[in-house]
Amino acid sequence: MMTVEKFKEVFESDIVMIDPGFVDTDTVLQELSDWDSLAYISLNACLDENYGFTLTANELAELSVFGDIVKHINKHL
Amino acid sequence: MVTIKSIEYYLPEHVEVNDRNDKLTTKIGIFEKRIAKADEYASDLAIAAANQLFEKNDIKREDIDFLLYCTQSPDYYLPTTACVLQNRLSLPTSIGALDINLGCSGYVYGLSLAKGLIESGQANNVLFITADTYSKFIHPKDRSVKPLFGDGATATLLTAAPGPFGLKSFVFGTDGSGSNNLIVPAGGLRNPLSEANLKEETDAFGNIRSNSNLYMNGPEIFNFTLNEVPASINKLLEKEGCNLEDFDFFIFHQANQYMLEYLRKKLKIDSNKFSIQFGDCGNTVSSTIPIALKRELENGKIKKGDKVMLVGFGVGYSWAAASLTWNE
Repeated sequence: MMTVEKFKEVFESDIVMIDPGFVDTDTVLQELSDWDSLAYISLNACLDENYGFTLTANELAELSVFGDIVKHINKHL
Repeated sequence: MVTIKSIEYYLPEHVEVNDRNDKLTTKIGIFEKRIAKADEYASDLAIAAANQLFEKNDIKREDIDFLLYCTQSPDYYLPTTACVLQNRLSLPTSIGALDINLGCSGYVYGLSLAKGLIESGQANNVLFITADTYSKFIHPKDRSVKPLFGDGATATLLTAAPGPFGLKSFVFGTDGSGSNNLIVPAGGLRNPLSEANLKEETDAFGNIRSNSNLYMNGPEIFNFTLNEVPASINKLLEKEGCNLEDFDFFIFHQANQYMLEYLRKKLKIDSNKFSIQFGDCGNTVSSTIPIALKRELENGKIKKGDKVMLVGFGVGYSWAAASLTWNE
């Protein structure tokens, strides 16, 4: 299963397309310019592929910081 | 067996381009769409596709005995657009004609209905038309739907033919709990057009729409697709008693590149056996599968005797999968 560290790298490179190492637990998602509805879908694709779950539209809308995504992942590890 | 004798499609002339430098365009793989003019309606596109079917193939109008018309862009509440089309297409008054109100799953459902009509002896030659103009529902400043959907129409002739070729198994699925996730909320009887329903609002991503426009909850639609498409394919394989590898070609509803590529990889389908036919026309709703089928036949990807899987899924939620062996 993908480690959280590896997930962070994929999140940066494929989902919000930002420089490696930019994102940490407290990064506010809304402040990332590519955090949009397409990023929601890319995130769900990544979660489905690597952890076997997806977030509902409501759960996605409630995400505030990057650490919130990690919390969901930890529930499925 | 009931076979697809011929398919033709018509795309409106006006081209709308998606910005190639926009990363959204690359992700969805849709570079152009054809959009109906202000005074051009789905039934007009339907007429063009059907006339092409009669002109390019050895098919006589008087041989048609049933017309199925799949659309979510009808001319009127009533009468049924299929009845209007009977007259405009100069089809015999002895035909049966009805509308099917389905979107992206509609082609597979229509094939199933046509198969039923022919196999039960109620019809010999079914003309099955699909046409939609979602562009008329879309707000020009809604990026969650505008880059995706194109207008278009197709006409398919179905008939009985001896031998092992034709439409085989079908499986279906419906889940109305997702009806609010792809919807034009206002304009019907439950929620008629009013000043309030025409009021434009901006969503969290800066997209603008009113209740009279098309709304799509992309993430929910994606989740629905991830769950139901693989499950319905497994159901079809079980029904046929075969494996995914036994199929020579796959045509899924041509939603967009991102979704289809994800599904293809998840299902481990070879990219050479998987249709991608929307870069120049977008998601044309119930017309995507017949457009892709026609193009894959023309470019030789589907040949006589090939086992083909069709999978439609979307608004409703509604989905269906079918298997067929190509006839000619």
